[in-house]
Amino acid sequence: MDVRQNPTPAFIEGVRRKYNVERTVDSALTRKMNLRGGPRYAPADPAEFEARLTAFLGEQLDQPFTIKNLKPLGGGASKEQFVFELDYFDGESRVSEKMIARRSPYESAVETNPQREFQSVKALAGLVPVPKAYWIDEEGQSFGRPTQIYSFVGGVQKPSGGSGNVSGIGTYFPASLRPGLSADFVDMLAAFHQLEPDPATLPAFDMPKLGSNEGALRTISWWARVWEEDRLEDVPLMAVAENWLRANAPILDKVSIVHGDYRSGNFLFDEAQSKITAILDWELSYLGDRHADLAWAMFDSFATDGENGERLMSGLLPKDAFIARYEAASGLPIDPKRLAYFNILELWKGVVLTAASSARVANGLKTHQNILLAWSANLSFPLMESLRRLLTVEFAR
Amino acid sequence: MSPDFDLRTRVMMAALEDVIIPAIDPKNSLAIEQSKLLLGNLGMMRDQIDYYHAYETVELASLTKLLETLSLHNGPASPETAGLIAEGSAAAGPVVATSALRKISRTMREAARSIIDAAAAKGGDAERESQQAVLAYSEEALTRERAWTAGYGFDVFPETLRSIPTSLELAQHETTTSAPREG
Repeated sequence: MDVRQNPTPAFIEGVRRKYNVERTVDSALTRKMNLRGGPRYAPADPAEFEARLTAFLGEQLDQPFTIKNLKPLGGGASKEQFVFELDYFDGESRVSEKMIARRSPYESAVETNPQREFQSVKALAGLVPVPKAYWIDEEGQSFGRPTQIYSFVGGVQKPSGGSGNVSGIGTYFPASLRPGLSADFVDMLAAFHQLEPDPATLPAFDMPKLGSNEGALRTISWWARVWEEDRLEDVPLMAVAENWLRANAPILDKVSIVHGDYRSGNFLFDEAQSKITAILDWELSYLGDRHADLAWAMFDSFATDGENGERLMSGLLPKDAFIARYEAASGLPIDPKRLAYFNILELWKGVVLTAASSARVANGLKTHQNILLAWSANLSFPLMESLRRLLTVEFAR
Repeated sequence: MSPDFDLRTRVMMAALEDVIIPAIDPKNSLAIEQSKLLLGNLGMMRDQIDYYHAYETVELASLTKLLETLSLHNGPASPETAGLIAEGSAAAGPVVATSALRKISRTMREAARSIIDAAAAKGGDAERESQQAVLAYSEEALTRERAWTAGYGFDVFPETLRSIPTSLELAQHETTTSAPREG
């Protein structure tokens, strides 16, 4: 029997004790494991969701309101989404606004406490384009499962007629769009990395210690725990990589808000203006080392070829140009040694998310996107190949 | 004779492509995307099915060799590991269910982690030898796994991407010609 699919309390508690992770990471992962043996996903009934939404908003708003045109929104591998228009009194006047409700599935491939995404988005409002964060049902008392409500931001995830794989991976952006989008993509990353995170506005996060490798070790423990909880089968390379990562964890020189999944597919843009309109999917955000986002955004697997055969990071710009623009925009140096370390850490984490979590969620039929998650699990093999190549170089030193 | 897997897969794909997908509401992007993924999966399974048993047989032989190598460099194999190695060596007969091969492979993968972690705790030569054994295994395994999953369109290393039969032939050559040596 697969103990991970029907975990016993002893298994859940044993894994909890083994890994030192952030408080809200622990609570989210423990919740996931406690629910894993429960029911598979059942398609959401929009009328039932609207009734829940009406009841929830009745508790949040003290004036009459109207919900119109509620419908499910396709796309999104990690959350079930509904769009609707809300007519309500915003404290000054009656307004009508298009909104989006993001409800956690029975189990997500990116299982995190919803407060982390909600607080990150609130903290970054005005600094980089993000949806406006309105309300959160953290425990799912009103919606059955944790749910967040944001403003709906216009824009597209892929260019019209563009190619690419699922979830925006490997999206090809035409040359006409690249100058504007790459400038925004790098400058926005630089902007939120520069910000000094305020613990008062980010209480769901544990602040890592400066001048110590404690934060990096805690990040490794987070993903090692997920690997322990989610994998369908072990991979010897993952064990070797984890041991190397722990032995070589670098010192933190500045605490940044790290997005955790910064790449094409996780931003919306205005095709006519070549401008990013929103950076999305902050559920994997944490406080840590900026090099993690840089390494992730520059994965081989997220790159595409330009017209002259040059590799474009996240489909947008060459690696050297990415680094030069980032350093100029942020005033923060990129340390090649730490970037090399985080390349390995992020590849290892990418394998956890795809080979373990995506496959596990599909195995339990826990979301509306099981077939997409089973498909995405196969991204793990080129990620492992990149990981193997980098570790071969490291072990030869 | 019952229609074979190839015929059955092709008619399922044709039904999807010709009848079911065109009938989906064009505004239902979730249903359209998922039906295309379904079609893509069926196409890949059609390519893979002839090789499925061979794939699992090679995988098991490859993991058996890894466990033997790891055990050589980390003291005598535990009774459990020795039993697994014997089971793996005996299991590749023609009447063994493919799922049984996969089950032994999964147990071997978990066993490999214990030895790798023990070697890392020891450090020095034990750790270096286990790292090298895992890298050698991974190079062969990933050649096979990447060939197997190339149809998903994620691979970015075309210069080392092989066809499924070629990757299996290479792996069989590896596991039959290079027996583990004393470290």
